[in-house]
Amino acid sequence: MSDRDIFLIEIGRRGRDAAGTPVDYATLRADVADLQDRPAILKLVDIPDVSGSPTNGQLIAWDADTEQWIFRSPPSGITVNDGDDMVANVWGISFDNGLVSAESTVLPGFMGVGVRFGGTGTSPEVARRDHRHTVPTIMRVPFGPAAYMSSGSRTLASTSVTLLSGVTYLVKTKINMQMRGADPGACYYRLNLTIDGNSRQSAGGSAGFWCVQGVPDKTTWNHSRQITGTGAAIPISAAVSYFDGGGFYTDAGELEIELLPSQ
Amino acid sequence: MAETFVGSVEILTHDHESIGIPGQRWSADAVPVVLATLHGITDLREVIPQPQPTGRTPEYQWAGMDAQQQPVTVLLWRDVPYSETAIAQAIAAAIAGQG
Repeated sequence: MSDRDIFLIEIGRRGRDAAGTPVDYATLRADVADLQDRPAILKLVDIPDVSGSPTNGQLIAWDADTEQWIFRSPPSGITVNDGDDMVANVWGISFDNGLVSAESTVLPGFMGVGVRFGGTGTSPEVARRDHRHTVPTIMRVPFGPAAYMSSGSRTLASTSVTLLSGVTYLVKTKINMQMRGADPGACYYRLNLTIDGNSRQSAGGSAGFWCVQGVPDKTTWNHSRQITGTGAAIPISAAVSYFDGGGFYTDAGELEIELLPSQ
Repeated sequence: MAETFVGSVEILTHDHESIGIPGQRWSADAVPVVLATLHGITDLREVIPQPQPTGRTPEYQWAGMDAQQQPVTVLLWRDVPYSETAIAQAIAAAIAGQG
């Protein structure tokens, strides 16, 4: 390049081409044409990816298979059948009387339904309406006359009963028998009942039992205990013991045992 | 032949249990046989009857061993006939007084 060289510098207007036309003109014209060609969207169904025509009450839902928004009827409520009545399209359940509901502490968003228990007890199970209680049982263990008694104690009857495991019983026992004095003067004796190792004995002397020579005397004594069964047998026995005075005859009688379950 | 009478046998065990054998007609020589057969009491030897806590003394008394080889005392009591009891005599006296 020399000093004589001539440089021609053409300066165009910014944003226009050589003809003076804005460089974005064509693009803008195309965009405007596109926009003008698009359908007017005045309703939901005018949108291209919304498919079908809705009917009364339908909701719009995304259909992943067709990748379209489609119209669907809302899901119906659950049907509740309590054995007697069937109620369809149920949206909510309320609990009253013996039922209670609470939010699950294990599954968030879930609700648990339970029984509203009253009274005592710890069992989480509910008894059937036609369940049966253990029928109170009465046992009678007879014993015969055992002749003259001059000292010590005499077992009149002994037996054992099995209590159902986990069931609490009132175990009632009673001696019904006849005593008869054998010697002159008062013949003092004591009666004793033992239930599973626990004894109850009558008082001795004039505060207790006594009989006289030759006179039959009906006498009773009782004892009761509350025992929770283990499925094992418990022993029960009745006895009489000499206390003071003359001897006596232990005549016939019976040991009566009544088992009263508490549930 | 030994005398027989209405009475009862009482067995006193080592732990003060009184086992009564009710009224039959007893004789002293029958007691060891019956007790050995029915109650397994053996080695009975007759001893002098001792007064018991009732104040009464048995007709006969023996010492022996029970089936568990524990010492026992056997007493043979003579029953008091009802007609000889105080209550029977009182009733009889009352009736006689009314006559």
